Amino acid sequence: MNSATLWFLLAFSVLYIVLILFAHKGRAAKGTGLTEFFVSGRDLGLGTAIATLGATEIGLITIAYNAQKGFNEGFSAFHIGLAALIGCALVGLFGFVVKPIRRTGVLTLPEYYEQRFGRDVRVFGAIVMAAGGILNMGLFLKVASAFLAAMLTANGIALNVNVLMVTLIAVAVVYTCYGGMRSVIITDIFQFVLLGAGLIAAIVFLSGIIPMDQAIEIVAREKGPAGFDPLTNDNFGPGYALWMVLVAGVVSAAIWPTALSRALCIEKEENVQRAYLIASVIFLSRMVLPAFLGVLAFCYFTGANAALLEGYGSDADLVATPYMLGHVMPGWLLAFLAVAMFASFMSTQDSYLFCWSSIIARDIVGPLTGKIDAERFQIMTTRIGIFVIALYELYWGLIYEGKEDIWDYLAVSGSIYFCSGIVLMAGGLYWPGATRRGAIWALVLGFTAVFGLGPLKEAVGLEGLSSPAIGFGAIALSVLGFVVGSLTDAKGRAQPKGARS
Amino acid sequence: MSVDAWTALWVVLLWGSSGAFLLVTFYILGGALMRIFGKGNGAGND
Repeated sequence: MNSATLWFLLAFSVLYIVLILFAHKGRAAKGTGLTEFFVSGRDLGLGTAIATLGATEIGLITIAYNAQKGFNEGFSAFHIGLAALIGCALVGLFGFVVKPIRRTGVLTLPEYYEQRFGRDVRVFGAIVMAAGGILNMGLFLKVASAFLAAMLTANGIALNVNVLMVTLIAVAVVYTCYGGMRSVIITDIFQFVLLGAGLIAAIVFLSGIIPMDQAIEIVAREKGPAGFDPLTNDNFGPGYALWMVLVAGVVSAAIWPTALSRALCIEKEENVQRAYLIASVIFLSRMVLPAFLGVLAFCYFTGANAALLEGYGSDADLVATPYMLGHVMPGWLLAFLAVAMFASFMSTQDSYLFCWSSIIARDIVGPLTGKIDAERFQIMTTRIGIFVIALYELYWGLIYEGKEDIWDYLAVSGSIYFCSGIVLMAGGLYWPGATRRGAIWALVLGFTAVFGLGPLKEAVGLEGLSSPAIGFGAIALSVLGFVVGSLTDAKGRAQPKGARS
Repeated sequence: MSVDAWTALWVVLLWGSSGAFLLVTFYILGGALMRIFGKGNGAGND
């Protein structure tokens, strides 16, 4: 047991909790009501909007999956960050979806479905959205626990992964139930700064141990051109790169509810595009910086240190980066980084738990029970939802055994929602001819993206198709259903929009 | 693109993103501190 690291860890943890409480002081809910609880009173300034967008999208899971990609694919994994930068910058430049959705004044995204297509589309769309989103976050807890445990175990602090999972989720639930969206946003600012400092400190420290020249040389020797060129890498290629512009860029920024809900919280409409344009840098960094840590871990475990990973079997690529961090960093820096990683886990976890539970409460349970505007009922249902989703996360983390990289699991599970989500959002906002029938057909056909998940793909004999191919296919089917459904729905097109709910 | 060109691109992207990330972090930290210590609205409440 490394007692010095443990003391540093304890000290930084206490400091972190004190600072979080200090950040909340005098900034708790400024009022009551659904707008306060669900969109933080819609009063975000530019800086806060960027921080909360960045903190939500950089979680411990983000660091883990990008480090895994960097470890497996070398520098060519950086193309995912470039794709994210391009996609998010395009959203910021043109205000694609984010600008018009802010103008609608809705509190949740399915609420827009009702404004545009009718109440049944709101409920159906919310079910698809919540199913894809909850499935997507299924591995967050497991991966975060494995990452933190490997990091601390390598430094002589033995931790049980299952105990860590229960502890992490318990803290997340209590804290997320506390103050709704405002509570999430206040802590996001603090967590973003802490995480930024931790990541940069780790990279600067590790670059002293494995200089860039040496890293390039090792990757070139061990992986060849595929370690640099994503277009010739067998696991990537042009189709994958294009899929990344869509998934890691456009969808992550403009369609994914945890990010898009930030646009709903921004006070001034003109700040929405600015926030996304500046945040595109974060979308780049959140992929590239952890991927570089993964590249450094690959270099570290090539040669004399290779034996250190032997006991981890197929999880070696996942634990390599945290194990390296725990192995080489001094106790105080490791403790600081562990708290920064914990903060990054919390910043994503709170946003995700809150986002999906609020959609369940407001857009599924609310319309079905006729209590959409019942404040106490909505807030209570959201809190129950947070608890139930946390239990599921614990369960799913223990049973899912897919063989794909974590990032590919996230992209595919997310596509269950976004393959139809992007069609409904963009089609609804930009095509006046869209109708309820088209929306329902798009939702049904977009759900075919579920066949991109490893176990299901094998079950239906689609192993020959790549996940991007299945994803693009599902989007194409959804667009087809949306267009054909709308064009054949003369009655729906004749109906005024306001009369549809 | 040659491997050398890809390498140069990734090196520029890495250091560029590190610098930009640091700048955004300072911008947000500065705004938050200004709000906490009451020196105007800061970046967080502009």
